[in-house]
Amino acid sequence: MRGRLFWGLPTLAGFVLLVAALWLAADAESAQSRLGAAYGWLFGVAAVAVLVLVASIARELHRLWRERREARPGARLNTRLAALLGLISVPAALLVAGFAMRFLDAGIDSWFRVDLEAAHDAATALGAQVLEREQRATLARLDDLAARIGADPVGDVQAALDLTFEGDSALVAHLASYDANGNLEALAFSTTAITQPPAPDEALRLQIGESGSVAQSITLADTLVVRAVTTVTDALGRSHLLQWIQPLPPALAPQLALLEQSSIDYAQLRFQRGALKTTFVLILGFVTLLALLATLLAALAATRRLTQPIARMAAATAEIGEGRFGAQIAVDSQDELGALTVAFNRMSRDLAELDAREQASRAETEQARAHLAAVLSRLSAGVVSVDGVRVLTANAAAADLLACPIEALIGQPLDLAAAASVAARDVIASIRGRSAEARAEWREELALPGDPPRALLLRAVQLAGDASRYVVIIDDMTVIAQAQREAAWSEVARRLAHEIKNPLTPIQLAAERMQHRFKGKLEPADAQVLDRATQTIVAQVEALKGLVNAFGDYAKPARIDLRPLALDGLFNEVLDLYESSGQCRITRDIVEPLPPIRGDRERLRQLLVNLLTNAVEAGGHGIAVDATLARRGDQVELMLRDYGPGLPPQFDGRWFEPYMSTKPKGGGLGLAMVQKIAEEHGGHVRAEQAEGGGARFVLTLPITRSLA
Amino acid sequence: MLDLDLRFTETQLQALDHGIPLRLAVHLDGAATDAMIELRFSPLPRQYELQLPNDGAVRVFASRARLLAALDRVVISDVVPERGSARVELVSSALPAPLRLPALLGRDWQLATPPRTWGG
Repeated sequence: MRGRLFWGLPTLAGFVLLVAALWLAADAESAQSRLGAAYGWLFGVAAVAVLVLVASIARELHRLWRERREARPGARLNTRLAALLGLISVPAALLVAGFAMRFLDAGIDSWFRVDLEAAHDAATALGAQVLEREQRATLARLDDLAARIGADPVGDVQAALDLTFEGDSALVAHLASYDANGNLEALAFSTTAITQPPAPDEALRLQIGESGSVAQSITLADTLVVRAVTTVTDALGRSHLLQWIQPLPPALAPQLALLEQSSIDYAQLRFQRGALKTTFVLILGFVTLLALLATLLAALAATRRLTQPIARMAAATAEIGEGRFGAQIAVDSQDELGALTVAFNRMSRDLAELDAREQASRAETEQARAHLAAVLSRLSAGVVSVDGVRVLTANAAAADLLACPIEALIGQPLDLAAAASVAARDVIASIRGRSAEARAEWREELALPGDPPRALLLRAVQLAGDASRYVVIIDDMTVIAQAQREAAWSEVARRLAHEIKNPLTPIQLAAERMQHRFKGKLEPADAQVLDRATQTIVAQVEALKGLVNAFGDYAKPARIDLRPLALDGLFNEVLDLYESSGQCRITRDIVEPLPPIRGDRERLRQLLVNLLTNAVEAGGHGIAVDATLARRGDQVELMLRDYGPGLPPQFDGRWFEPYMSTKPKGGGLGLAMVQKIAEEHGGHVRAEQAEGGGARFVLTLPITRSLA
Repeated sequence: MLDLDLRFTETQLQALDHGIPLRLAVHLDGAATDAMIELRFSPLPRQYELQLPNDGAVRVFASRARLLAALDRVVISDVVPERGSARVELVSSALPAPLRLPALLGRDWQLATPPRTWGG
């Protein structure tokens, strides 16, 4: 609606201005007034129309300026095109108008050439003389008539008129006599068209009173006639006012009438010379103004229409530049711009499809990378990728193996990464040295000093296409060796159970049968020897059975039943058992309640029993023990510190392997079981010398997050 | 009879001498329509004419002075109220087209006659 009004008003204004100009032009050429009272209104409406056009252009220019200030797409091009069209059209229109005004001025001036004016004046003077001659002649005839009436002794005016009419019938049209009161008293006429000529009025009487007689030209029934009026006093002393109406000679009348009208028109034109120029300049100004304003408005509209598709395309291009693909532009023309718009839409759609595919591919890549990262993070082996300058990636196991934070590795220059730890230094040095050889694959075993010393196995593969990039897999050979030993012990236990335990029962039965058979048949001294030997065999067989059972338990595959478990309750329960039996004197520091863990109650009970038994066996009956249980982050930490002889000097990680014991009793499986159960629960156990003497065993178990 | 005391500008008198008719509108209080008087000049007989409002009769004068003098004796209306006012204007729309715009805007074309009041 606003758009229709916006374009409707200027169109109406332009139409009004055009009509006004044409109307003025038509009226200016005519001597007749056809506009009449509408003249003022016409100028008023034209002025309003000009204002409307100017306002429309101002509004359009303001919109253009605002769009340029807001840097809208296409605004600059729109401005340049509009300015270009304005620069082309405005000077041309002004030039045409200037020349038109100049020719118009010269044209009007040419109407009043000196020779033409002189000829016209001469013609007018000649016509005036002819007319004056006719008037004088008529007046002379009227004077003759007046003389006859004055000389008539009876004063018969009608007879005098009739006589004159009969004598000069070709020259007279109407004769009349009026008395002193203005009443018609005598009449003679021939032309029916002039049957009622006007009687001399007061003004004419006054003129006659001053000059005695008057001759003038008047128009009667559209005919120019000569009118002569005079007064006469007859012999009886009566005063008469005589009027003679005489048409002009037929040969002269049309020419004189034409000359009269021509003289009037020419005189009017001469007087209006300046005003005529002003009017024509005004008309021309209207037309020029209309052309200019309409041209400007049309230029603004045309450029806007022309640049609209380009502006839309620029906006869509900006969207694409910002990564929002798929923008479509309405195609509203079938020209080259329309074809360009169609091509742009196709390109935008293609880009959107490509972007969608690229995003899907990126998502897949990210998913694969996340999957790889998850795999790497779960690997027990360390994985590090390097180029010749820095560490590209590293997993958590690598950080653990190199005993440094993962942040100290990832993305760091090799020199900085090497400074993170001793292990990192040795590993980086090894990688650098091997990389210099530029081999596609290499492996190296690296012995790291420390307590305990560790052995790392490095296996590297060169990445395809880049000789300086390697992926290095780091394995802790110490752990592998331990696992191998554990496997070996399991095999030993299995063989013990199979090869040793099976013959033990027949041995025991054979010894008991032998004692039973020979009891009472031997001398008392021999019988005593047999009895002691038999008891020794049975006792040792029992001991061997116990040993084999213990190894069997160790080698048995773990069958744990993990359930939510309050470790503090289980710990207190086991401590109470040892405290009540007097085997230990226990000082407790147990934080309650602790978050539950997921654990197998019986396996963990065995773990605690093994640790306490280990303390009692090391320190003797009634040994003092400190028991501590607390939360450490997302783990619970259980500590048993005894005040016994402490760990042997050569104690290390291998003491958690089977058959490692300094105690005279036991099979050396207690601590091995402790470590095995701890690992079954995802935990860890370590042993260390306590300050002030004694040993300290620390067990850490993870708190299940969902249970915490 | 009303003494209108008409005063013409020099431009108007020159226009009359150049054959341009001058039409005057006499507005009387209470009158339904204006009374029209027209003055013109005929170049061949060199006489001035006055067309009166009532009967449309044309009076002829040999000089402009006589014409202007006769204007003072013009009978505008047969019935004149005891009190009232009259205003005379030059009808610019009756002028030739080129003179209408100057007549609208210029003072030369404003009749110098003041409004005439009587009886009050």
